[in-house]
Amino acid sequence: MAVCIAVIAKENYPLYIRSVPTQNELKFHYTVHTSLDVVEEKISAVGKSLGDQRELYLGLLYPTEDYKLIIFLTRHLH
Amino acid sequence: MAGSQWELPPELCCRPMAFVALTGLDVVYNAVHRAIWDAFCANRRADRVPISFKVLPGDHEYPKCRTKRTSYEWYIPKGILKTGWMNKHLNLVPALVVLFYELDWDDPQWKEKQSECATKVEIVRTSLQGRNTKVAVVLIQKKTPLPPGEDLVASERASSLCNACDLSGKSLFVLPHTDHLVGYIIRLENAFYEHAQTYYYTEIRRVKSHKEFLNKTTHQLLFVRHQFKIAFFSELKQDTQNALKYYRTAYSLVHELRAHETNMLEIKTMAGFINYKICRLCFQHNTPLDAIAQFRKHIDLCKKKIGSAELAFEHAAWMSKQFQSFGELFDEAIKLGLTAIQTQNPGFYYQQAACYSQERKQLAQQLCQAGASYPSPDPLDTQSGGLDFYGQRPWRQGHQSIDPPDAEKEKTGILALQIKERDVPHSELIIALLSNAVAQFKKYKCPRMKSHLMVQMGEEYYHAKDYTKALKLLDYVMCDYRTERWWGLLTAILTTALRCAYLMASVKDYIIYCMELLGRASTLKEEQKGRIEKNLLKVLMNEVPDAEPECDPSSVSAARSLWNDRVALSGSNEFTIEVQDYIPFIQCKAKFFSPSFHVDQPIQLQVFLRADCPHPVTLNKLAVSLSNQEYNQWCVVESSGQESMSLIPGKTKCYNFSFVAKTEDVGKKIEMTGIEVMLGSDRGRCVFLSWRGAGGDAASNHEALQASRSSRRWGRGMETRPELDWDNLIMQHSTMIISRVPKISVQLSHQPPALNNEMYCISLTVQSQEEGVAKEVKLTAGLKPGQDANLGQTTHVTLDGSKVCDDTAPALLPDVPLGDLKPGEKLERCVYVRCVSTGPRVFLFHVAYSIDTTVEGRQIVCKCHKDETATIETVVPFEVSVKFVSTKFEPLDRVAVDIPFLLMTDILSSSPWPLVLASSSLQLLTMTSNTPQLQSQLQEVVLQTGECASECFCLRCPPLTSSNNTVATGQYLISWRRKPSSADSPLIQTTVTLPHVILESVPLYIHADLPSFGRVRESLPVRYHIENRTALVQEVEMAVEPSDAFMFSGLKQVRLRILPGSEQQMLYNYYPLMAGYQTLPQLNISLPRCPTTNTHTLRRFLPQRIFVKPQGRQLDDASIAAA
Repeated sequence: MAVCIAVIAKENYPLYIRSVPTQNELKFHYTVHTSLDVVEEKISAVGKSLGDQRELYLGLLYPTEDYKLIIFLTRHLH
Repeated sequence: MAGSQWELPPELCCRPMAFVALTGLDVVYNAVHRAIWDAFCANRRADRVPISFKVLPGDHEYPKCRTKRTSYEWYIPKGILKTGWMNKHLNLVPALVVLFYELDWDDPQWKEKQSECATKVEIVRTSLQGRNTKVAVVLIQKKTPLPPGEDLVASERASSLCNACDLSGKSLFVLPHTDHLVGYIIRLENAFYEHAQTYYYTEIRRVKSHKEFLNKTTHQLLFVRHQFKIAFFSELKQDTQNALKYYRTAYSLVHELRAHETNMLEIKTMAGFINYKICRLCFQHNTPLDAIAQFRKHIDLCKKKIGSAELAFEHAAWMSKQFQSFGELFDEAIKLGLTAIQTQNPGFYYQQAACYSQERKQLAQQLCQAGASYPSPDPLDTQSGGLDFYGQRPWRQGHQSIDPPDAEKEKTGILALQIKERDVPHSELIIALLSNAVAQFKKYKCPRMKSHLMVQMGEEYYHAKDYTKALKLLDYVMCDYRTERWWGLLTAILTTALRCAYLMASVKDYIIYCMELLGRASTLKEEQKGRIEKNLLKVLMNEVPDAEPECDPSSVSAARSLWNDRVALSGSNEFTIEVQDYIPFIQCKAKFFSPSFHVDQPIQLQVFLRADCPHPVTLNKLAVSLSNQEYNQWCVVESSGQESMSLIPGKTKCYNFSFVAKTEDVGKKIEMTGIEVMLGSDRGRCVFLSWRGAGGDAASNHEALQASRSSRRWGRGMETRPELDWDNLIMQHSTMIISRVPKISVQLSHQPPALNNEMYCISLTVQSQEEGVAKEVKLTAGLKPGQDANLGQTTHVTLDGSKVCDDTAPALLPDVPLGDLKPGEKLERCVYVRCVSTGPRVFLFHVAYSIDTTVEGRQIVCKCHKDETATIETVVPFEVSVKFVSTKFEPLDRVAVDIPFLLMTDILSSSPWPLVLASSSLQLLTMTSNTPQLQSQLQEVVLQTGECASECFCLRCPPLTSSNNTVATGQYLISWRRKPSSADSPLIQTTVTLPHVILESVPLYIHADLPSFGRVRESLPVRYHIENRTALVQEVEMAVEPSDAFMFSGLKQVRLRILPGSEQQMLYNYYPLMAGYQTLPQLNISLPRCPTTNTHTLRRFLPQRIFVKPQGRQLDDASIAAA
């Protein structure tokens, strides 16, 4: 079950973030924020090799102890 | 103890090495023995065999071997693994005991010593009764042994000693105590290593042999124990592949054990041990993915095995330890060369370890209620001081059934553990793990993870009541969340920080955090903001603020007294807070009305303030600091009794300031260096919020960018919003003070292009439109600075047009006084420019003056100036070309000495304006004129564009003394001026250097005197002059060739001699027969003595043809009539 969904601007701040209300919301914010380390790294690595042909679906980023993080890049969002 | 209970035992974590005991060595008093021991154990490098050596006395008692079990039928094991077992095989039971004995083969007391040695061996053997430990003997000998087979005594005595000691030949060694001790020792230890391997091999066989006696119902524990032992022995044997295999089997067996609450800890403990060994070996085998997979499996299998709910904190502690140990193994492997990546590095394991430690702390807080006293007698006390089996409870060791034997004991045992848990410094453990994780994430480029962990560290310090450290950490990371605009997280951190500041009664920090929590970045609810604002007001009134919610009550009362002390303290109640790097609840933006102001206008600036807090805020003062502090006095506003300065939330308030600039600041920039807003008052506490420059804060740049993006996107419609749009307010932090707008006109008139070297006239008209007198009008005219440096050298400016200026005239005439100019008055000046090189130039005409004026009632003297520039091209007025020709107008490539030739000049005008050529002249060097007086042939000639003026001069080069055959000719001077210019404008002299000529001397010069034309059938006398120009007598052969056009009289063929320097004349009478251009009869001349000179070279001096007119006829009527 999806527990949290976040839309992040290209400057890495949250445009939208909602999580299931029963759990610690702050924890999800931190999880999403810290995952940006990996997203940033992946984007820079992919960007270098493929230019604009980059694959948008980064897939499963990495499993944390309790959650799985799945990332999708968008081309344009404004 | 509490922390270390979960530590893995050192004997588990070390690398197992074969244990070999050395006896018979006296390493304290015997230097030889000491040297041997040192050679064994000192500086053991990685290439030496893995053995752990120990020196033991000859009569050392080894652990007793229990009698071997013959049947397992009635045996019920009490636990999985004894706590002493690993240590026993690492350090107590040797694989090999080596007896060192000093004995040379030729020892005189051989017999006695042999039996003494045998006795010693026997003592060791007795002590090792029942064990498979090998015994070896090393004879320390003084003499170097002979090669094998040569010493018969030695081999005989060796076999006798083996017999006496019951040793195989392979277990007797000789160690000559000579120079190559280390070499011998290395050979010895390699032999020991082989013995040790055999020993561990037999041990593995022995343990394996038990298997057939076991049954699956009662001996489940033994299956695990035996696999563990086999694996451990394999490690001792350095067979890590098999060790890994057996540990894996042991691991799956341990999870097959029937688990219940009473043995859960034992199962987890052993599972943890075995997992540690497996992961360690996987890393050692360079298969880190296997290690990670094993660890994940281990965690998945164990994380739900909580065991006793009352001791749930134990499970969290154990889990934490699992992650920590794996992190350490991972880190260790990295240090040995493994590469980790961003998403798989030890940091994640330390972080998870910290998580479980936090959980442990929470569980401990829930489960370990204060108040109960520690039970007596201590249920955790055991007779031996430790446990027999790993992971068992001290109060029921060896108990293996499902239910505890004694419920009361169970209760006190649990209570004792809970009480002990209370003393555990949880925060310390958590912080240590977090800090390990931080170091890892820093290394693997995870800045956000690092910040998150630092927040957790800060929070943990807060829980541990170390507020100073907490604030230090939180402060450090806050700015990361601020710049990344994660307001929810920033607010959470600020909330913790505010609690710390409150509990420490740190006034300044308290104000800073309040200020930001009230600001627009804060995600707090209005009511919370209201509460914080109320508290902030209290602090500004020098009162004690209310406690923050969720603070621990005991800490709150301590904080209250700190605040009371702080409030009572007089002085130090003024704070200046640099708010630019925060997102404060008062926003400030300022701007100058315009990026520049004329000095005769008042400078205007506006400061916009806006409050984001829930209730109105009152300011006491607003001040702007400017780069020139003298203006600051005009940019201050203070609240007075009647008029208070208050900000309504959400409404922008604008403060206007204006002042008159100083005339000496013309051309300078005025910058806002800072803005200060004062909150509070002298009676309570003064807080100055200070912005650098023209305001703005950590978020305003981004907001402005967003605002400009959306206004671009949505077009003009948005611009008509009634409310001043805060985000669209653009700060303007500096302005230029520029001079007053001049009210004069400056006009230039001239006729471009300029001609090279001429005195080019530019006429300047200045007219005043001022209402007052323009005083001290000054003109600066000339080459505009900042162009090619060479232009400065080739441009000359003067006001005197009567004569050609020289090179000392400057390129720019500065500050030429022109006097005063009344309103409407006009003045004219001519500026003359002489350009020595061609190309474009920019000329500047700068007219400056001063004038009295009034700004806002103040009298000031303004300096004004008006600039005009003109780009003027300079071109060459004419091209001069020169050529040398012979008297026959044939081009000359060289000039014959002392023979006349012609110099022809062409002046081709390239000027767009007509040119007057006043005169021309030649200044000859070497050459002389062949005509008595050289006269210019182009005096006062006017050349239009593209027209050409030519001259011709007859010259002769006199005989030269120097041998140089290239000589300078001289110069051609042309005086000229532009046609339309007045007659009194100066003439320009242009000098053209004539080309050099190559001279040649001729031995014989021949020229002819003849009339300019002949007439048919009339005599034509021709006199040939033949000059000998050499110092020798020349013999000349001459012949005249017959011609159809002429008859002639004279010598047809002659041979004559001409003396040096003299001339011979030959006279012929030619008689033309035909009219028109006729070729004269050819003269063949040769100089037999001078073969280089032939007819051809001499003939060039002679005319070739002559025009013959037809025969004269009397005019008669008929011919006239015919015409």
